[in-house]
Amino acid sequence: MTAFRFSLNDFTLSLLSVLFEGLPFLVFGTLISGVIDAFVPSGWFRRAMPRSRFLSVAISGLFGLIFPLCECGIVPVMRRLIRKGVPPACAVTYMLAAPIVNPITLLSTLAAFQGQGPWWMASMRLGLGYAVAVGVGLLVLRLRPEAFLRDAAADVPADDAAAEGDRPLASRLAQALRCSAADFLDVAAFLVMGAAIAGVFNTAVNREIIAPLASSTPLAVASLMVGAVVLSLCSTSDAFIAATLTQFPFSAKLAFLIFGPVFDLKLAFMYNAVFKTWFVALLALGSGAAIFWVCVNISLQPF
Amino acid sequence: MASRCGIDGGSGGWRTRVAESLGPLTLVCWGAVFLAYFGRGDLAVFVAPFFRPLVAAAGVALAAVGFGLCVLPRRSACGHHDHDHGHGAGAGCCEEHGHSHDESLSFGLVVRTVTLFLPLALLFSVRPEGFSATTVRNRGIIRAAPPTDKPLEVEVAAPAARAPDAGPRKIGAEAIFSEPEQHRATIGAGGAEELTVYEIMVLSADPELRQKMADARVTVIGQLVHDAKNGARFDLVRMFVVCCAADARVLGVKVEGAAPAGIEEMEWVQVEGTLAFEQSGPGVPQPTIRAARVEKADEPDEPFLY
Repeated sequence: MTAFRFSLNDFTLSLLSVLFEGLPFLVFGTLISGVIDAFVPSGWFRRAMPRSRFLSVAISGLFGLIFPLCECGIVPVMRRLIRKGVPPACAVTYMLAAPIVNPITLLSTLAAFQGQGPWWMASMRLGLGYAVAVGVGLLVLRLRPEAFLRDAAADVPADDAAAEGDRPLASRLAQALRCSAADFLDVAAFLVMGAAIAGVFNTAVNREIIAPLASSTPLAVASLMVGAVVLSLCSTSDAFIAATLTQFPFSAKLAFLIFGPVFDLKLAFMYNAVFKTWFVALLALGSGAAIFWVCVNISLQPF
Repeated sequence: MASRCGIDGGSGGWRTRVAESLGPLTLVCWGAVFLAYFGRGDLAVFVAPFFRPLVAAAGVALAAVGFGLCVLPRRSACGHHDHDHGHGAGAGCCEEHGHSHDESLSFGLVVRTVTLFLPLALLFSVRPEGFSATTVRNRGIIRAAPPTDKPLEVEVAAPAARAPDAGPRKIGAEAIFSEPEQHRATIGAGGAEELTVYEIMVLSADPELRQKMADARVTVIGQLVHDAKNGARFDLVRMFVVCCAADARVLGVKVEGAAPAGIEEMEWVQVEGTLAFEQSGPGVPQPTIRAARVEKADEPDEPFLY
């Protein structure tokens, strides 16, 4: 059995297919980001959020149900929200939860797991995904923004709503255009890097080498979490891949479906545009450890 | 006329002008590629039908933003500033405040631009038209549908009256399940059924249908993959895709019969033969086609199954 066989044709096909699928969502996300920048006064979000910081974080984890975005499109939106005065803990919670806690992911998980306890898998996925996002958000509450955000994201302007109110529409549209372009160019480059590495794993690594890993639960959970990182699948389609991994236990597939949207190779690069490297590493290790512990130690089999 | 950052300002000269052009150029190029691939129908090998209009919409948006950046005066773009400064094009007009405004042709900008153009260079130099057998072997061939307690959701094919001399009748897997009695009575009643690899796998998961379809004549189109251990068999495979080619799973049916000379791996072939189901291990029995005829076939308009 050859563990690694590379084909440039297949690598190119995999890379471009991820980009053809992911870049449109990034475009839409950055357009939203530009509109937020140009038309939402700084501080508006801050004033609209509940005063309780815990409640704000808890509610932020549910915004994906109303504003569903996949992980490719959400990073620039999250960065723009912080720039507009949304507490970083709330923005991070929204960023981590929205790719999982949204109606599209719910439906795709239900469809993919037909005959394998679809409602149980979907509810466990959404519930644990939400818990992880809120947990990270609550921890982020304790951090100063400049400690974990890169300078450009941490630089929250003063509340300039009054000054912005006088600006003409054309000026705002131009600003939205320019900021959308800036966000797209910044984040798309990281998406390309992540998709390229995922493309190598996707096409060149023999998947037979992971089959023996299904024999024990801890090994199966860990290997599928690593698989989620390297495959970098979209949260709307990863359930269809997980459903075919019939030799792996339920808890391993659940870990695959929760950890992938929280952290994978493409996201690692995209996060790096917003967060400091230590925070990205801690996010990966901390959320990974929590998901691993829950999936290994708590019986999650469907009834 | 409003002056443009770094152009009339004279802070960067040609380096600034190049830096300012890279962003809009990148956006317009990607937008043009999106629109060209959508317009020519070349997205079939990359993404599922649902995503194709999104690619077109994104192409329009990218091209519009790129051209917009070219025509916007800098001061208008950053209308809330009274000063004039040297942003690179699309260089984070608003968020970079407090940082260096004078984005010239920096190393980071060059790396970013090269990174964004590399996939396009690969696209036009490699021009992928489908996966090779390398990826099929790396991903492994799925030979049996996972056991389910519900019918799988696939395209509906309306039942059609059958004339005695009619050619192969197309049948959809959902029709098999949704009107079981009516359809099961006709399946395998004689003549070749034109099925997909996926439909055969769905059939093989149902004990009653397996019984009815055993020894039925079928015609199936797929891509040929040699069996390295047995020259008298080969795999007939189709890629099953949900969103894009990156998530493709390889569905395959064993074919008993030597592949004709002159047909390369992953070429499209049409196999006609009789269907059998072999219980080679635990789980659902695997379907096999005992080939009576194998010949080259044209690639379908949709190379992937969805």
